[in-house]
Amino acid sequence: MLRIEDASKNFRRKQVLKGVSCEFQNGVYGLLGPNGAGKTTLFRCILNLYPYQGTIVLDSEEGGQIPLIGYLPQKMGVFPNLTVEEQLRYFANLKEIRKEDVADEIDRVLQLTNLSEVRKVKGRKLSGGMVRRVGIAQALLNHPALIIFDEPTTGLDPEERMRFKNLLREIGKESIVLLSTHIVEDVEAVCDRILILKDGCLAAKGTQEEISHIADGLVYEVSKDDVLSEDYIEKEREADGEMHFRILTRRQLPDSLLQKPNVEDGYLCVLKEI
Amino acid sequence: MRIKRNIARNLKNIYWQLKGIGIFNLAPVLGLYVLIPLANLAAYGMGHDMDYLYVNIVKQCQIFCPILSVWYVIFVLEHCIEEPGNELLYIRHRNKLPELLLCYLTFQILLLPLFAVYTGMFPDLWWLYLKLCVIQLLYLGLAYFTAFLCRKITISVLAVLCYSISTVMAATIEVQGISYYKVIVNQGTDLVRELIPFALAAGVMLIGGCICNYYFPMRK
Repeated sequence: MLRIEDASKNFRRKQVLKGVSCEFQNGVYGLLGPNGAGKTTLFRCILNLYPYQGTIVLDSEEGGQIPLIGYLPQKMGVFPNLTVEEQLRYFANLKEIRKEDVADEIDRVLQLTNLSEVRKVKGRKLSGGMVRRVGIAQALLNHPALIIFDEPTTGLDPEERMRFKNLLREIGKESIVLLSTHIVEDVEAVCDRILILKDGCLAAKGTQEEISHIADGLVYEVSKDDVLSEDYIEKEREADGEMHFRILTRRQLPDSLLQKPNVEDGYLCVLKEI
Repeated sequence: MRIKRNIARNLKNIYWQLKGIGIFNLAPVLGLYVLIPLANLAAYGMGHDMDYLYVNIVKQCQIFCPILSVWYVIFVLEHCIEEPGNELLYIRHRNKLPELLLCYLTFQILLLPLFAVYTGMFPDLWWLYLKLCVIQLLYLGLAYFTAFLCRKITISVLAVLCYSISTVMAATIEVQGISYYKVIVNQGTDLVRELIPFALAAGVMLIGGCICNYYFPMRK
């Protein structure tokens, strides 16, 4: 279990995290928030890279001790002259995996990330998506109790994204998986629970249904003439030669225009304070 | 047991990092076993004079060895400081000095066969080897401290190059203090007295480097 209690972090005078508290059991958790909301800062506090106020405890160990954490940073490079397998051997050494387990562990993560066929390919020949998969593979080494993915799907093609989502569901059965992204669709596809960070505060948390319910009675589809400046336009689409707008509004409109809310609607309601 | 395990882990880290830079890791070997011997041979060929060769060895070693000694260090530092996603390297072990000291030791070992040949010809050149060990530690400290202080490897490279050039220039205009570059090799207590300021400076740089290294992941 990962427990965060009243975690705060300041950068000089700017408070980037403001008393975040939450608990995580095994499962996939999506951390949503706009740029600068504090997602990466929260991750770095969990990884003990930043000093922080409050308590962060993983499996009854204090934050100073880092038992088994897998981490995929937002940006990651590879050695141009090392093969995929060698890069993973390097990370296995960093993670202090026992010598006799290294080969099996590498085989396992290569298979999980669909990189077995390119295990002998050098870093300089890898595409951006493959580099990302090497990053995912190194995070999975040694069966970590907590795995943190910071914007993991960036650079992955649709097929690999789908594969990654399936993989997340699998590893979420045995580990705590924290996933930060601004692609709501990814979160909807795999996350058991969702946390929304806004200006360093935990603005909302809950299951997908609970987040969707935040926008109950606020989502409408209207024609162009019915849109007012106070409405938040979420999407627009053309049908029968006419533009239709999906809006979030506190106004009372006819029930016939009311739409069933989804996670994105809930997220936007929290973000835009509708 | 734990120390042994940490050394083995750090050695493996260096091995992968240096393998990762490809043919660039041959530069110190080529410098030590091609560049310097060729310069020595050229000097001997010009005068067929053993005294002239002795002076040339002393000069060339003091110019090239300290710079070559930080070659591996610079690449390891670049990986730790400028590589995207380098926070991964600080999760379990924040202090990079053990890895860098192993790079330093690797270079000292590389230097040994060259000095075995030199001392076969001029026995007192072991003192030059000892002098270079201390000076190279100063270069290590300078590279380590400036790299983590400025968080830019180019600044570290510039600092090393500037110091190296200035030490030769300072010696030619007879400015004492910052220069270790001399055409004679002091021995015994004279050498110890000569090296104390450089050893102290190296210690200060290494401590400064450790402090900047500790705070590095927090400043990102």
